Amino acid sequence: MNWTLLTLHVRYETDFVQARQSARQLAEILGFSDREQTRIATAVSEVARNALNYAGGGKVEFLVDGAQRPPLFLVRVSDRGPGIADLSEILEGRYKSQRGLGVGLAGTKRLMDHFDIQSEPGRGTTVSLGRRFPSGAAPFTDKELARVTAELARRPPQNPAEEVQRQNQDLLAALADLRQNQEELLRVNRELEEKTVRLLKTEQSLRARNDELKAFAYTVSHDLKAPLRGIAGYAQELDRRHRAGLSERAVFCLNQIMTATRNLDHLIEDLLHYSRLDAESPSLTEVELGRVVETILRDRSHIIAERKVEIGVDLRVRAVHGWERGITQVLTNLIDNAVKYSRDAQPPSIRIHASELPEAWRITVQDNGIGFDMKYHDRIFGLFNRLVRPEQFEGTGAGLAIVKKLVEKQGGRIWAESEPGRGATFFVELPKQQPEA
Amino acid sequence: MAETFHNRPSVRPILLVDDNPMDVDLTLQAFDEHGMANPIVVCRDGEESLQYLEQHGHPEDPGLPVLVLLDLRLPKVDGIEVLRQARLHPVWKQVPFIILTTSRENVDIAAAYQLGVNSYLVKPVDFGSFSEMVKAIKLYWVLSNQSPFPG
Repeated sequence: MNWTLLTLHVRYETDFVQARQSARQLAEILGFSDREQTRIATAVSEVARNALNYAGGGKVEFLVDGAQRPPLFLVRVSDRGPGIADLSEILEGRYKSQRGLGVGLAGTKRLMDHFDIQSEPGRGTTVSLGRRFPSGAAPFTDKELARVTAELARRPPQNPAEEVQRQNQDLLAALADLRQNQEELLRVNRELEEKTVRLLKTEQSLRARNDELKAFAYTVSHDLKAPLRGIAGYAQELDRRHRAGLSERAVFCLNQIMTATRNLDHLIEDLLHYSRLDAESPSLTEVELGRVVETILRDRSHIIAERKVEIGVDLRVRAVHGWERGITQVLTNLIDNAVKYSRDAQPPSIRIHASELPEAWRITVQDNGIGFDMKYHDRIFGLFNRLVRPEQFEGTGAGLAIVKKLVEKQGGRIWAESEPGRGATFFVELPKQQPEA
Repeated sequence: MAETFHNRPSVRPILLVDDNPMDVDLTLQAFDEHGMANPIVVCRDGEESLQYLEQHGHPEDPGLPVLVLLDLRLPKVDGIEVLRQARLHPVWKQVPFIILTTSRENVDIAAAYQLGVNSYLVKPVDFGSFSEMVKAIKLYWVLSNQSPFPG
């Protein structure tokens, strides 16, 4: 429902100054901030001036629309003038007034939350302006109406000169605001520059970290291997040349040392292999899956024949667009794992399958080996994480970590399904659309 | 100063550039196992090997080696720099150089071949494999390969 706070008639220059003053006072009483008061007063005086200039005067009503949440402070300015002919031109800001001094109707519209104009040639014009109450304002009631009108009545009447002076102050304040905005802009600009500098520094430090990582790989390969070669070399010399002089226990110790050096050698090699993957950038070509699988199987034909492994290959994809070295390494590691962990099956069986999905290619490697408990699913892809003891199955536990990294480098994903004693199936999905390198 | 092992002045030496005393010892042992006739001169860092290059730069110099076994990571001047300097030398650029290192890094391999290295070998940890490698070096580079210099 609408409450009327005040009604004014505008007939002379001084009246529209009065309208401006009342708008400001009411806005203040209703709890609007200084800046909001200026905004509302400017809009009202603009519209009231139009009524005076074009229609020889009109009526200004100040209302509160309590149906809105929050309530709307509404100012309705109506006249009985000739109406506005080119309304849309004016509202879109295309119309250039010969007499207008202020922000115009288009500017007024921007100042307010609600703006409505009814006009027909020869039948007058009614402009409604609304500004929402500040957030947190109480619902408007009769009691509130009483308070506002009483407060307004208490205000001493001001002469127009004071309001004009006030308007000057508003202009100065607006100018100060503008300057502040400009300073704010400069400050934001400075901040942006600082952030850019910081970003560059971060990039630099990332590069440094990357170089460090490369240096680390180098150190691992060179500096750790040199003493290891010493240990291995001298242990082997003892074994070859001085074995006769050693006790049974000493020979045992020597064998342990040689086994440990071999294991450490493999660990270092795998660590290097794994860390080097970061530096590698995939090069994309047509990869014939059949040829890749055939090559891998041919290289393993000896162990496959020896263990009587049944191999099933079902490739429903001839070629994929991808990274040949990466795909080959992935399949090699998965097939080697399948061969390794199906060792005790009667007989071991490995199925290699490829199919095309709408967005990706899917390759699966399935075995009937020892399998694993799905609660360890994520662990098996971690570097040097193993689910079996070294005396059961050899290996460092780098194979699947390398596979995972290679698959992710190609924007793909890998997962497995298994049950202890019931084999395992590894799924690799490579997107047809490679991510930007 | 460079140290010479198995000194037989009539045969041209093999130059081994390696800073790790254990590696040097194991390499000498491996050569020993395969009955190498050539003396082995050892330089323990890059600077020392560059001095050796300067002192034995004449084609008639008996110290000019039949073969250089060069490690990459060396104190003072690294192996790649030694190789670069050697390739700029009118006489030494004709001497076969083999990189014998632990680094499998592509950048090292590429840099070595860019500078015209004759072979690039990665030292295995296992002594048996290393001994086999040394035997192969001896058979090919020392016994089969024709040196550009007489003697």
